[in-house]
Amino acid sequence: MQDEYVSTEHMFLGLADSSESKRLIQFGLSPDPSNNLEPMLRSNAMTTQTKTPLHPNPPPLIRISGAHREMGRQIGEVCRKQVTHSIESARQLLAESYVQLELTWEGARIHAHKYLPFAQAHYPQYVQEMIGIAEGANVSFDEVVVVNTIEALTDDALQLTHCTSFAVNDDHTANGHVLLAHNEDWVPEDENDVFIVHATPKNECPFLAMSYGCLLPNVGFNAYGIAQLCDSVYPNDSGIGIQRIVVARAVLASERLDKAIHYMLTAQRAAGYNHLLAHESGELYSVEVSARHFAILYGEEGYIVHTNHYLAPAMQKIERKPEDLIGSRVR
Amino acid sequence: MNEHQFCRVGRLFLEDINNLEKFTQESREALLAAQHLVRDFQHQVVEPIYLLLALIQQHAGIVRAIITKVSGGTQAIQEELSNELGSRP
Repeated sequence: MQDEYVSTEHMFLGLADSSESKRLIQFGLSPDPSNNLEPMLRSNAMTTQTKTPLHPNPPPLIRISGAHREMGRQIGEVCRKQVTHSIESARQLLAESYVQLELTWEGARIHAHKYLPFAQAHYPQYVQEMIGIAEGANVSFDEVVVVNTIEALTDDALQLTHCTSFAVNDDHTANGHVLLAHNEDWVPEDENDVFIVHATPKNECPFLAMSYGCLLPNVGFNAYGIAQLCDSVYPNDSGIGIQRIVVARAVLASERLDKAIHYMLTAQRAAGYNHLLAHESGELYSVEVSARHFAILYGEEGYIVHTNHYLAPAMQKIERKPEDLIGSRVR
Repeated sequence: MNEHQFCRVGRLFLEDINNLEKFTQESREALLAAQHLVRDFQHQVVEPIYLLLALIQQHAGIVRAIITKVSGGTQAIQEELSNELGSRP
């Protein structure tokens, strides 16, 4: 076999040539070249698995555990370069957008702190994670807060995110799995800041999530079979409150779907995402959230798709400048 | 799982053993599942039998499909493998 990837077929052929060969013969599978094992494996009819090509430079996987501040510190230490770069990138973004936003970096630091008491009141554990990230990466906590508040600080005027999310449940996939996909369409300058975090918090459930720089993890799934994908939406009722990324971080700690939605709708939230929510049982939801409104859409046909515009009529009424979201509708 | 342990599994992926990027997702999952089986049976060393059982337990996997086609099912071989592993100290 001259193949590019090592598949389970190769492994099985290797086993047929190992100490397990006797057992395989017993069950009718011989490693003898005259046997049809290899042709059978090669047969298109039998080849059910996909040789999944892997990214040549996949994002690093980091493992963190412990109390929230300690987990943040571990992220900061391991991803110091990414954390530092994400802060510099945000600083540059604001500088380049000054004509439009009239917001300096110093102004952003001051303004971001207005959101902090709300996060502290509802989710102090995630404020601790931000403190830990700052400590681990040896950067200013204020700057970590700015990056975690950047969408609100820019009042979403820059519309930088063009994320797309979809999910298909187990009734409609070839392998019977619930599948989710998310395109995190943020600025390309931050691509190298992406990492995957496998977290085992001391007092919450384990999760696997994507993050970048000093952002709190939010797109991912947890040990209770709950997955979340986040898409930016642009309502007209945003205000000062809990940063939406803090709310999304809380969802990763949900043990049940109803609790996940409860977190998404936390009082005093500053704004909201569309949270595409999936459970391993195949239940799929899009929870469209703003600061004061929400709508829950159910994936009745076994799949659900969302981009950056509201789908529920009630939410469309509060969508700011829907004419700017043509690209989202096309997607 | 170290290189020596991998080597005992078979000759076909020896040359790639230091490059896990060359493994398909299913292959990685099988290796991980084999490691978990070792842990579950409270054993110390990964051997081919664990990998065989892990491959058979992949519900949508090619190995399960092959054995089902040849032997009519995987229950018998799974039971035999589990019994043998369970009887080991």
